[in-house]
Amino acid sequence: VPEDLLRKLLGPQSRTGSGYKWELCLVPGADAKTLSKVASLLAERIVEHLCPEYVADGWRDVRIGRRAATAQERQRLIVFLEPQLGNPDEVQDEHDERAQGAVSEFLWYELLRHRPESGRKIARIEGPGFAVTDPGGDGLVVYESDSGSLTFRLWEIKKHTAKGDVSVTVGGAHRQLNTRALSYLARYTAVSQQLTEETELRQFYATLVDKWQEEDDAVGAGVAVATSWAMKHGDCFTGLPNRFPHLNQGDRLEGLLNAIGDYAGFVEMVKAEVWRGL
Amino acid sequence: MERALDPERLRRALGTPTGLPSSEELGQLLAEIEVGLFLRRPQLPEEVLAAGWYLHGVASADAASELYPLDRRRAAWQVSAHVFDLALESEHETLHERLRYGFAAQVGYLKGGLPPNAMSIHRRLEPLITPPDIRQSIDVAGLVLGATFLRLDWQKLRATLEHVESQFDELIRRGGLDDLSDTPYGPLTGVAQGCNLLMRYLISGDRQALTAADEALRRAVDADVGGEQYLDVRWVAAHLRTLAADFSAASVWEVLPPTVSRAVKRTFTVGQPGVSMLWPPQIELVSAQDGVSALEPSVQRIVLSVPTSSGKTLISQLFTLCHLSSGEGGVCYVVPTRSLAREVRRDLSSRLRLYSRSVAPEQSEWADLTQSAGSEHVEVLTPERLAHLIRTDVDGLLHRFGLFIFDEAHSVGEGDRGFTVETCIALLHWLTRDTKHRIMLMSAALGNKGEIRSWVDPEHLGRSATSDWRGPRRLHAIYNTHIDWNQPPLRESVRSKSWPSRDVHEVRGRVRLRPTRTGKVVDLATTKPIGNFVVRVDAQGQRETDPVTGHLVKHSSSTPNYKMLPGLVQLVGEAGPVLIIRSTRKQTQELAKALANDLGVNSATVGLAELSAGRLGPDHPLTGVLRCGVAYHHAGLPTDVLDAIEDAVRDGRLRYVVATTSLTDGVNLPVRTVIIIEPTGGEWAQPLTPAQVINAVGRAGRACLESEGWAILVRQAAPNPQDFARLSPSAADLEVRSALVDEEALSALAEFEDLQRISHDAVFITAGNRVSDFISFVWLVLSAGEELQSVGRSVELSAALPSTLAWQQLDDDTKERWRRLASAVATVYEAADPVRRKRWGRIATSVGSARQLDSVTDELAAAARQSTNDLSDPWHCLTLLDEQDVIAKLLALPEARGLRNPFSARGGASRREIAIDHIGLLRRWMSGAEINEMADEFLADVAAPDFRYEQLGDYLTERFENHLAWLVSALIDWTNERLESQGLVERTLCPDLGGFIRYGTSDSLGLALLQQGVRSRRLANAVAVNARGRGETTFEEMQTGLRSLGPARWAELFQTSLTDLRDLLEVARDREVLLLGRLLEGETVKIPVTMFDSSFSGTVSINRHDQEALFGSLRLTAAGQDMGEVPTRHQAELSAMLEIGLPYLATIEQPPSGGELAIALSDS
Repeated sequence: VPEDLLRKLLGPQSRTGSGYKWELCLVPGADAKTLSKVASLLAERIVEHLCPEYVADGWRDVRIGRRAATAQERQRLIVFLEPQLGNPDEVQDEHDERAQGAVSEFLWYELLRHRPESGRKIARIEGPGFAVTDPGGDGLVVYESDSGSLTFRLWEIKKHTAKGDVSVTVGGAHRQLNTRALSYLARYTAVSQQLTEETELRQFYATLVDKWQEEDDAVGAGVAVATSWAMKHGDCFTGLPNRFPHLNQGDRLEGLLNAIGDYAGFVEMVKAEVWRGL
Repeated sequence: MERALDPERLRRALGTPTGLPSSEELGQLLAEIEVGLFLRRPQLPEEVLAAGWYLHGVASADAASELYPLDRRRAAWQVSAHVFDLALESEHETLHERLRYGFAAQVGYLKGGLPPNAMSIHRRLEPLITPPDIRQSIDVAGLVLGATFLRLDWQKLRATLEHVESQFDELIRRGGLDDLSDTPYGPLTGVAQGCNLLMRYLISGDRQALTAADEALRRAVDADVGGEQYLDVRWVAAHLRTLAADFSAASVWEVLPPTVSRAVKRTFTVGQPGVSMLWPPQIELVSAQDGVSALEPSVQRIVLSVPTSSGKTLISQLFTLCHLSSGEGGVCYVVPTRSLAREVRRDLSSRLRLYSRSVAPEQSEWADLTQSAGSEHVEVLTPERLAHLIRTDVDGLLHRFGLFIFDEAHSVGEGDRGFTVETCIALLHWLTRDTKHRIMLMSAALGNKGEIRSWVDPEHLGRSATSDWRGPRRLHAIYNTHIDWNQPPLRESVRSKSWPSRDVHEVRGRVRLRPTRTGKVVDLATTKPIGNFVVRVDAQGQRETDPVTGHLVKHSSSTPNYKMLPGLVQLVGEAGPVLIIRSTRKQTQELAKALANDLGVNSATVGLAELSAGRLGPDHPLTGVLRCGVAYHHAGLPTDVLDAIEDAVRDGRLRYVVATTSLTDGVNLPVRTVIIIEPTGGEWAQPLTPAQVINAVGRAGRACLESEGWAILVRQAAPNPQDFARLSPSAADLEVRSALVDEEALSALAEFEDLQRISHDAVFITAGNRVSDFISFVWLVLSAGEELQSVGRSVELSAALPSTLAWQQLDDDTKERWRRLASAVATVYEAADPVRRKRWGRIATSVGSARQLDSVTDELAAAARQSTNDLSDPWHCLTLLDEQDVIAKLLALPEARGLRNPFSARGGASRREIAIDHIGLLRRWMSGAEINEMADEFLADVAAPDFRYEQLGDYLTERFENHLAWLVSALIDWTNERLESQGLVERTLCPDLGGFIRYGTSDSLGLALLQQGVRSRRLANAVAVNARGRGETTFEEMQTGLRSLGPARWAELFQTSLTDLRDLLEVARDREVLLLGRLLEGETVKIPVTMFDSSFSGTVSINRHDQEALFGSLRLTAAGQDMGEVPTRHQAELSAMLEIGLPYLATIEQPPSGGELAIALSDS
């Protein structure tokens, strides 16, 4: 399975707004076939991401019906996946915010890391780790340009399942990104100082907060939202440049809107795919 | 002063980033937040929080040392810690977010060099934290672990780790996994392992654990597993990793010199409180300079000047233990008051026990060295006792002790008692100038440190350390009352011809807060009036004015000042305990009553109120205010009640204490807020000395409990910008001056010189002033010189005088006058009887009084020879003293002049003295009567129960416990010497009579209990009576009897309080087994135990029979069943082991003769 198959399936459309660019992935609720494929592939990616190879291999064997899962295997998978997707043996919340948030982050992660880049490549991407007690998720991508210079994009990743307009959630994400950026970057600075021995990268990490505060050229921000197809919005990111006026040049503001079927139902499909055969 | 709000520090920390408040703005915002917190209206502007995170990021940037130099990062840690500390108060934030703030504050404080504040942050988080469910949030669990670790309280960490690890075990079991390292829980397991290993290193010094901790935390940071984001867990891991190096560098394992044994070091890491890292001033003091640490025996003079809340207690413990381990003799620890001595003794004792060393029990001031058991290694004593030992057995003293620690050394400058301390230091210094003895002076209030050092260490061969470091921030405020004279008063008519109306002005409270020394002062006024100022108005409409000053006269119907304070006190009380300092006892009681009226009944202090009712009576005002959660505290109350009040403040039951300076000077009792009410005159009102202000203000902010404290000065005067300076005495204010250099001394010297011209007996006539103290000192030097000649030492007056502080501070002319006086004394000495003159040098009275006592001795010895009674019996002995009128003679000595007047029916201006039967009272006191019984019996004419008790309490303390006990003891000593020298041993007087008078008992068993640390006289007498009933006659027999009774029977027989139980367990403790010390040495200790099931053998846990009781039977439990019981003799040490939380392995073995418990410490 090609690494970027999910991205290909979702077929993001690139759009450009005033001072920002954004991508839109649309899967209509009626397109059951695509929804099913996306859910299946995302389930695969999630298991691969969260489990060591021997666990993921066993899961695949069971999933394709090669053999039945042992009770132990099933419990083991739960141990690995529960922090993101919950425990299937426990009473399920009708509105499974944890899984909805986690799937939103995985969508962002898969789409971002396989996005074709021109003139730069990803040096590090901080993957999904949805904290259910947090009001949202954050993501950080560090790019290295062909010339060797480093830049970063700080993302706020949200899901929107409420009845209101998605732009309300996006607006909230803008606001949160603005107020929480320093918190995220400061904590990440402490972590990043120990992630690498590479002097240049360490020094880059060491100055994240100053770069952000000084509106350095290396800085960018993004907001990603996963919602239902019916909630799609022509362009819900118009508020980005207002919130971050200093970043509205040179593709430093980005959006990602994933409008996929009935999003809550889609998340349930992903979970069903994960637990299938177990 | 207030570090984070220091504008220069803010500027250095913040730099000039875009989009954040400037350093000035941030300083102002932080000050506003502090003011908001003071008013209990927490608020945190977003830009302040943003600045906090920005600074945290800058400070975390290890790789950008050029961009962010070390000093900027250090400042950034400190300021960010302050921001997050304040942010913790944001109640609308989620637990997750507050945990982030808390952890960020802890890291900032630790990296910024303020470790106690990091510990205090966890205390504030604690009520918010529920045991973390790792399946719910890995990040929250990681933050809880990190924050708990940084509390450095291993019992709490162990509990949290056990909770988290049991969840790990469940997941491992469910998943059939070897471990969780490659699951999303991987980073969390790394943090848990890291915490566990770091704890092991800090407790045991095992460097392999340190390396393994680093590896576990590195894995957590790398998060090479599925959930690589989990930023908070990794953030915690990253900081713990870098902090591990800091912890290591500040741990006792690294800081204490290699010559200090592991056993000593471990005593600190496992004792209570556990010392995992030393604080900056401690490190600075004990770190090697020129290759030598101040802890090494070769450093013989140490002068230490550090503020309260800076870890002075631990420093003294470090010196004590390291000295004991050096084998260079015991430690003599001098403190200014008996109450402080008790506290130091208690703290030191629990530490020393872990090293199989002990502290001598309390001794009477006049007890000789052989009376303090020879095996004890440390004696904590008052200057008076030290002076006695110098006078009576200086050679023995120097033989026994190798280190003399003088705590609160500024007391040298405190009047008459100061001269006692000065002469003790001077003589010890001079006598040990060529020996290995060491002298250490410690104080928080030495304004002239350099001069003091030159006094005891003229060649600067020792060590001197000064620090203004303090853990908690201290913020200052001034409270005044304010009347807006522009507002027209309310005019009221009253029935009076001369003053038919009154003007009533509203009084408001005005608080000026200064959250920073250099910043602006915030001026607040109460929204409602807090009282009235009333002025009489005559028929012509003229208001009453003072004819001299022209000022309005405040009418007595005005609201008294103390009634205008409760609002302020309650406001600050919401943030933590408040200590209010007033200058007189009466004032403490007034304010406590006013506070109690506003507060209503408080269930937390019911036990305390019951104790007070039992000791002082249910109608005593203290009992009444205690019921409402308020106490007052002064030296006129019984010691055990004062102890109980102090304990209740420490454990949080009691929030409001109104005290005289006896509390701040005598006891280490930190609180959140100290309010000093400046005296406005009146009975005995004395302004606080600068040292007393330092001591009082220093109590504001409890290190490790909170990160800031408030000191508030209440002034009955118009606001003045200089008011704040009153809370921060300058070095000049704190200069320690010898008692011989002040005006009082010089005028006494002039008087003496005049007297000398007209009387040959001037040396004997002079008494009760500085000159008589000096004469007494000179006499001591001369008599000690004679004594010491026999053991090959020499003491010459001409050399001894320059060893005083006075000689450093006097001008040459005045020195010459004192020297002439000394020569005159020497002449008199030479002319005196060679035997008697030496005896006169052995007592710390004036020489004249010593001579008088000697003649009383002659009379008493003659009477004893004639007596037909058994004079070894205390009652017969007392009768003899009465017959000889000795008590009256002793009370007539000049030394009794300073004592308060005896009893009066009423206090204040309407004092009316009443006569009582002193001997009758003494007999009741010695018979063990309760104080309230004696008060009712002897002072029925005193209407107010509190005044009745207060007078009696003072009388007992001053006359019986101090004056009479001391002089009677000396007198009996001299008389017995004389009788023995005449071969009349059978006629000797009761040698314990002084002790009986001091402690209020007539039974040697009761006396022994009180000297062994039993605080309640009632209990000691009850136990003694019970022991006599069983036929026990010696302390050892009574101890065995107590052990066989056990705590449950004690409670029935003696109605023991918690304090009583603790004291009796200590008495019953087996001091020979040295259980804890041996366990810490790695030994498996076997003790016989009582088995309920004699066939049982196997592993047991040790549990309290009654989980609710802090003290009580310890049971041996297996599978939920009680299998046996720990004998009483070992309960104190095993209780301490449980309290400390030492992990142990206990096994019942079955020798043929019965159950035996084998106990060893397991790996932490």
